[in-house]
Amino acid sequence: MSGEEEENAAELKIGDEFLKAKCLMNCEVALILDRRYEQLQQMSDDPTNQISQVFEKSMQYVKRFSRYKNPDAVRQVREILSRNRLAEFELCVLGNLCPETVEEAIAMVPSIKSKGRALEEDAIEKMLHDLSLIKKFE
Amino acid sequence: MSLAAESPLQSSSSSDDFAAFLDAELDADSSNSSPNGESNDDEEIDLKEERIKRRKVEMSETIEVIESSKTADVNKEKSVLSSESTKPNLCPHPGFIKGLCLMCGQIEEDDGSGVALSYIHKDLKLGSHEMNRLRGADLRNLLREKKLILVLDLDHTLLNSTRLADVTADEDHLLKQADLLQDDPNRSLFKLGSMHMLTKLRPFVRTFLKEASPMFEMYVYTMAERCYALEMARLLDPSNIYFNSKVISQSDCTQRHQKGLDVVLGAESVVVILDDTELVWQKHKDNLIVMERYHYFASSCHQFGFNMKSLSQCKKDESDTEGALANVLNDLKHVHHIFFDPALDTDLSSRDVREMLKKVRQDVLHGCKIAFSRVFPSTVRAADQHIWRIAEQLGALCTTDVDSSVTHVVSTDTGTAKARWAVQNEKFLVNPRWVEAANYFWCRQKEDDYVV
Amino acid sequence: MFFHISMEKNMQLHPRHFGPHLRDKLVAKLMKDVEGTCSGRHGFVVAITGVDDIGKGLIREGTGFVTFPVRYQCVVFRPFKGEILEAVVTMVNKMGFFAEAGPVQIFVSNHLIPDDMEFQTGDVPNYTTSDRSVRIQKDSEVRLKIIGTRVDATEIFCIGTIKDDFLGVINDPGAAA
Repeated sequence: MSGEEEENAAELKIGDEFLKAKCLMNCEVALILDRRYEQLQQMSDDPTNQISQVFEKSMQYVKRFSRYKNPDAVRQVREILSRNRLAEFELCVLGNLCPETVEEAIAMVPSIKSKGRALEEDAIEKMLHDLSLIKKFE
Repeated sequence: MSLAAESPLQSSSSSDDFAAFLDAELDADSSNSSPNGESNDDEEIDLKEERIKRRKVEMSETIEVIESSKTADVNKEKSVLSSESTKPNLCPHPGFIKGLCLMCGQIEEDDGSGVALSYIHKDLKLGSHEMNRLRGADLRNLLREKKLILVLDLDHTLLNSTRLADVTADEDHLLKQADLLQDDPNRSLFKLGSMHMLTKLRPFVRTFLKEASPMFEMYVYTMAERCYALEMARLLDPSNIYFNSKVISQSDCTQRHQKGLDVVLGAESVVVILDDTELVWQKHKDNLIVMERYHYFASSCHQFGFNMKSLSQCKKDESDTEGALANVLNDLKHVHHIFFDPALDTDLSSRDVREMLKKVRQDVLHGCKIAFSRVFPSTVRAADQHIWRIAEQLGALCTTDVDSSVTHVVSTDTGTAKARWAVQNEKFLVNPRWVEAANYFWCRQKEDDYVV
Repeated sequence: MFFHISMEKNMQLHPRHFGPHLRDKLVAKLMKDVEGTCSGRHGFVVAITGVDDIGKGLIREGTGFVTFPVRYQCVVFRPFKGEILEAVVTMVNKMGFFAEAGPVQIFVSNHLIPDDMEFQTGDVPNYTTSDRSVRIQKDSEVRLKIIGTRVDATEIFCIGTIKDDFLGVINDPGAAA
């Protein structure tokens, strides 16, 4: 772990462990938690007894801030983002925040324009456009 | 433990299914994303395999991490701190919340300075500079909205509470009444079982708050404990529109047995205080309007050494429309009106509500010239006497000698020379309580009610 | 940010729970023990999503308890310095506003709110631009950047800013009214 270096998500300094870990977009977490909640419902009359406050707050949060609701759209979003050789973290920030312009995308995830990264503005533009289409047809 | 064992949670097979679902759902399309963004297609396959390997390595790391996570965190924090201290940090650190600087987000050691404002957030501390900045910003805001600040005491000012254990036999009907009224939104009597309290709101208090709220930003300031204060605030303001994070209680006071405006984020020049106890406001007497005490319950009367029957025992209450709160609301409206009087040629921000309070009080007995007769010994300096000072604060001219300009003679005895002079010359002859009452009600009282 | 990670924990179980449903009991206890907890390293454990492996049990001498190493997958939520995320405003006062992103509490001081937004008192305290076009009040959705985090045993607290490009209100609950 690179614990010595100061954490800064804008430069992708989130520690090796998290950099390599799988990130989840809010819409993906919503699917997971929904599924989990359904399972609890099947097994218990009152699932609210079984879930922690953290679970409940997280579920409310991801539902409120999911830009895409249906599982097909969620899968497509990840696919489109994945074409662009983004880090998991970058991919999920973009998927969560759905920036509308290249400038906004770079402001949200400054690391995509950092040194040594060859992500062209055209490619970002295309990606944002594709994402907006999913939203439109969802 | 037993709960966990008995709870019908997922069986092992279903959780395995679920993991499989997740992999299918989430892993399918993302494995070609690489954290470093290398562009070679051939490498991507390698990366995919490496990813799996890494996971395994990661896992063995995780075990270690879980066991030592606590100490690791402490060490990490320390190392961040020390690396920070070598860099020049230009942030003035105006205040801290949970040890994090409000402005730069750094974790800083508490140097003990700053005022804790736990009524806003339990871990909030502000430096004096920041307090002043906020007061300044607040002042501009308030003046723009034509508002002043009103600091309200709870007990005996807005309400009266008694412990359930102290409810007397002839007050028993109140307990039944409180139970019956439970669902009435306009009730003023509350049995608070969890606190073992019975609370009576002062008549007119809801109207008072409603009408004061467009003119004042309101705080509750009580010497009682926080949980009681919050509960009372909830009774007075169920939808939390008046006292939103402005309930100051005992633990917030910076000085023992004293209330201070030092924890109020507002300029002293716009604060009006309503409290029945003058003693606790040593530093802010000029901001204070002393309230007549509201003793509803027998225990409250008893506590203050009164032996008469309480309002509750007589099944009576203060007047709704002519009680203390209705009276003081008129004073507050008046003070507010003259503070924002457009005819004044001074700048709003230079105006001081304390001056206004003084002025309003001076209007009470304006035009009266009072001669005192045997109210205090003739050997003492008249101008030092409490009643003399009060009369002057209320705007009266005071004298010890009578002449044609005198309007009132204050005496306890009809037989004194001055008293007789008053009767002969058709001047008012009143009891000293006439002055005291005017002082309480901020209003000249009918002389007929205070005959000697 | 939410992550899906693997973690491992040594679970202790009394032999009275042993039997055909040992695995179920371990999993149930794991969920009860782990979900909703918080650590500096991993943030909040939101939900366990699967159990990869339960290792061989080790009898602890003297107590009769048996320790099983359990490897499981879970969803965690951890905010990072420099991360931009969306949050719901929970309280507004003259010092700034509090917001929530799931289980995480965030405070945005008025130093870190754009200078053209001024605090307005009243029934619904809020920050509003001078042209009244943008307003932050309770229940507003804001996009903010985390600039500091503090983790303790039960909660994560952050300092955030909205004083930067593309940050600020994304949804105004008052606008519809």
